[in-house]
Amino acid sequence: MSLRAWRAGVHKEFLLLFHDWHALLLLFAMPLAFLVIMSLAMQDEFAQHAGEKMRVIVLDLDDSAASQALAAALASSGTVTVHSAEPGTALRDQMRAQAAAFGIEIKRGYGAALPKATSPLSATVVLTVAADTTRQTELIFTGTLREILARERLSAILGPLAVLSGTDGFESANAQPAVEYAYQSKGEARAPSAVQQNVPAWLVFGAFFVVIPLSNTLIRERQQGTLKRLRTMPVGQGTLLLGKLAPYFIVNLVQVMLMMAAGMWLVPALGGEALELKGSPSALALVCAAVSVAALGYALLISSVTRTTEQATLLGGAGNLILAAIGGIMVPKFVMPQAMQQLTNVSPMAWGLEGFLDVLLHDAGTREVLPEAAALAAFGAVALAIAWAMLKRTEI
Amino acid sequence: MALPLPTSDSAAAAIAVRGVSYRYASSAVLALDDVSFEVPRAEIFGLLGPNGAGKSTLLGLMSGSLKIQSGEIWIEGESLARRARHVKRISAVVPQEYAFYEALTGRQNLDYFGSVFGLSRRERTRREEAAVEICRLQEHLGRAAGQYSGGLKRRLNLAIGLLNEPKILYLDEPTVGIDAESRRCILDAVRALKARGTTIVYTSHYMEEVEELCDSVAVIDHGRVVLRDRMQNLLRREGAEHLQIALVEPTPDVVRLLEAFAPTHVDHKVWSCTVPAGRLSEVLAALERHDIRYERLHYGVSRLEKIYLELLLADKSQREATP
Repeated sequence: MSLRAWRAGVHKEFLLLFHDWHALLLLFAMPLAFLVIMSLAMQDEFAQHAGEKMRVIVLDLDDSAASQALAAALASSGTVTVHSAEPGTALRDQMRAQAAAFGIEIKRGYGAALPKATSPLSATVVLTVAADTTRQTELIFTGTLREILARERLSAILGPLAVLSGTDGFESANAQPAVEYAYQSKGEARAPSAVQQNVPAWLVFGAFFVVIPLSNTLIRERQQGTLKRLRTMPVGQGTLLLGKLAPYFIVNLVQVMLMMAAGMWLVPALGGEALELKGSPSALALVCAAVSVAALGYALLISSVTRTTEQATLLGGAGNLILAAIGGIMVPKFVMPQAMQQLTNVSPMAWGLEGFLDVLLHDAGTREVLPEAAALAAFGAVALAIAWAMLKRTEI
Repeated sequence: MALPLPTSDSAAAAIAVRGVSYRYASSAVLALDDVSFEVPRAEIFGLLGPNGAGKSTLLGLMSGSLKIQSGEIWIEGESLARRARHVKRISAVVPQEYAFYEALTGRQNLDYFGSVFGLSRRERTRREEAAVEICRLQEHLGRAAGQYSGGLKRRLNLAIGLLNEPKILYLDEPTVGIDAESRRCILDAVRALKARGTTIVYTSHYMEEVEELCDSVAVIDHGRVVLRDRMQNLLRREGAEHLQIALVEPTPDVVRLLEAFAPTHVDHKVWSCTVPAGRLSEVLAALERHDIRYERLHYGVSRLEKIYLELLLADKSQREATP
């Protein structure tokens, strides 16, 4: 590969991009606007889980009649489905694996503490809230749990007479569970916010929009005879394409930085919650690179199967919207019905979003995001290979 | 009217095309059918033919933008199939389209294409200056190429093709749709390149231009070479008894006089008629007697356009007659 020719290609692509204000607006202003608007509009207002009851996993370490009664009371409340925790696996891991909204750990001594009105139950009942559980859902469920605990305590103290009395007098601070959040591995208590969903979502969306400027440039080159001229020069297709793709890889990285910065400073300045950067920087870089490879593969594929800039804009733009709609970008995955949640798995945007959420919410490291990164890289590699072969075969 | 092809050693010719056929993936018909010819070094070779005849396909194959399916092409003694990259280093194409980036300035375009050839900055600058000078672009390099006039765009198109100082240059209709000044500039550049020893393959629909510039010519129709000859031979052979006069001023008196000789072709100032050798002195005497001034007078030389059109007509009749 001629390094000089490659560098010239990179420089030329940047010059063309800087001359194209529409493309710059599309790549930077559009996802930024979506991010800000949606973060503010959806602040702590994610819709409730629809179509099925929330899952609650109960880890019963007390194994007493009282603890079993608590689990039974939860199950009969009608708002949740209760599942017993598997022994030997951490409660949070089980919650993540089973997509449970809450986990309840009933510690040893719960049965003994229950009849003692002065003993706080937060010492023996710990509620863990999943990262993607909305604040509203959390408030409703903790209210329900508080009521059940008060009733259980009343029953334990009064026995059969409890039915004659209300629970009001016992629904005190001492009858409340301790609440923790599953996305926090370092013991900090912060609820997930709209910005944590929207920054990675619109970041991935924006990254895939390189399809428009990239395909338009390539198609114009084909239409204007520039590609024909380049083919008659002593430079390989690999050098030309790498020179074309490298600037957009950098554009994707700049998009990530810009969107992160907007989540950290712009959204809170406008009254929203701030994005906190957690997780491993290397995992974040890996997901960024993988998303970019997938986006570039998609863009080159669209460029190779279309003949006019109109076709590319329509196919690339509409394709992006569909991938975003089914990929949990526009509507968060966790509010989708089960069948739709399964469908998100076909969209590479969903893989990218999952990767970012793993890093930002679940404190994931490089190893944890490898499946998403590998899927994205594989998608990008296959798309690039098909596009490469098609461009090579094109008679111009 | 198809003539036998001159034969020579492939290595001695600048370009040797041998038995080349090509079919596009989307077509059932051959775009080129067993095409063979040679182009001597440092000559301008006119490649003529109607639209869709196969000229662009042939240029695409010779320049390496299309892959050879059958036959062989030798450029400066090197097989194009085996040494494509080397051949691309010593040849250049100036396509009919404005094959550059309109958003970039003339200078940025030259820099980019110069770098694609892998030239160092110093060498690139030297060659850019030479190309800019020959195409007279000095005052326009700072503007976006999209703002250029048609003529300037053609000149920039040509300048880019000169950056690798090619031994072989393919010019695909380089003067189409431009003003007289730019046309003159490009034709001057072509002559200068020939004088430096560059072999030029020149396609154009302007027969006068081809007649004026080219040393030899091939006509291609329906994918086959139907004529190949040196320009002088062709015009002389086909032009027996043909008189052509380019008048200074075609006044009504002059026109009346010339009409007496039954002109076969009239193009404003240029009159053509058939005059047997025995009557030529009579015509010249009449011109002298009436003091008719003319820019040039050719006898026994035909015009390329006439030959070309007759050739295509004959080829069409032959094809229609063949079941």
